Amino acid sequence: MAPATGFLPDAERATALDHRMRQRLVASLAYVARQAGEHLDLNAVRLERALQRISATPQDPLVVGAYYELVVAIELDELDRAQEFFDEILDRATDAAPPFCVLPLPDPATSRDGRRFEQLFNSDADAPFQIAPAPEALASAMATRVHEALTLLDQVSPELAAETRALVRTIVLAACPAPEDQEFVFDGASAFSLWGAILLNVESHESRPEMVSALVHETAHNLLFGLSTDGRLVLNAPDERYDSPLRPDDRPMDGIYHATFVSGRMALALEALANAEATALPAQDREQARALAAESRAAFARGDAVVHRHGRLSPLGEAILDSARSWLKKVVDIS
Amino acid sequence: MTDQRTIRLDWQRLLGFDQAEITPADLKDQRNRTALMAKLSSKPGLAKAKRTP
Repeated sequence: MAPATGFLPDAERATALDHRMRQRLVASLAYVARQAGEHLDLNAVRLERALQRISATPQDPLVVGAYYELVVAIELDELDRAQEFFDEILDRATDAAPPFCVLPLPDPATSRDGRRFEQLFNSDADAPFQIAPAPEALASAMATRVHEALTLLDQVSPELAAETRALVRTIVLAACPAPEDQEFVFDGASAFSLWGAILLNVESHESRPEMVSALVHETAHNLLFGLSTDGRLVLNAPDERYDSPLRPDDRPMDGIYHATFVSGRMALALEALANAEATALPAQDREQARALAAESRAAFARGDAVVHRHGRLSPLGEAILDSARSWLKKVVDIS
Repeated sequence: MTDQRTIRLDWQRLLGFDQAEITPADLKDQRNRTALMAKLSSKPGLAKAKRTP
């Protein structure tokens, strides 16, 4: 059954999307194993057990990441590396869902996991940026802010909090080295190839509204990844570029579509914060949330205008954005 | 150029690879690879770096 395309948060849908993503991963891994034949050494019993575990249980996002490294190694005919990645997937596949975790980026120079996070989070061809392990004190302070933001989201929008927890298993905290020497500094990132993981910059998102907004922003990217498992949302050629509502550089239509949708989701979260009880959030934070919500609604409108003018959307892409438009219109009509 | 791949994969049967047919030459450069597949490209939130005058 096709997933619901409604704009409002839905933890049950999120759980179903994770299940579907894992079924597609299992089918693809079984196919790759068959194609590999005698060229890779795959123990049939271990393979079957891993596929059953992936099918039945949520997995570490690095399992999906290893799958993408496996496919690329095969296509480059690097069979020793392909063997390593397949072995890693069989080792990592678990029958106990990994706990939600907030972790500092392991050093990509010495850690396989750190290198994978670095490469896959930083795979935007247009705007490469620098990711580095964060100083311990900054990472620790950021981890505290993340947990506080989730608790706050539990209070002001339990549905959004539940959906966030269903979609995101790993939050990776990192820094931008020597930001004064870079053209771009990242605030956060998500990637289809790291389904269930998000990256946050420890030096951004200082206030409570900014922190909640960043979490909801990256979670919304993951929601779109899950919704697009079986097909594209945007049909434009990937080399076309258009004005972005959120970034200073021109972006492919897929990026504009994502930015537009996540702006709507940020507005949703920030409206909830702005309307929170005084006991849940100080007046100063509610004021900032109100201002940021207005900015997010404006970003949605800018992005939607670009999509409306230049976008060629699949029926699924159209349905998802239509639902977001309806919600934003209601909010603007009320306020 | 002769295709040297030992294991052949049909991209339509891979998770998320539903856009372009990509050649091994494209794959040698990760940025080239993801430029051809917008959906699989990461989605970073970026700001212009603040430079000290």
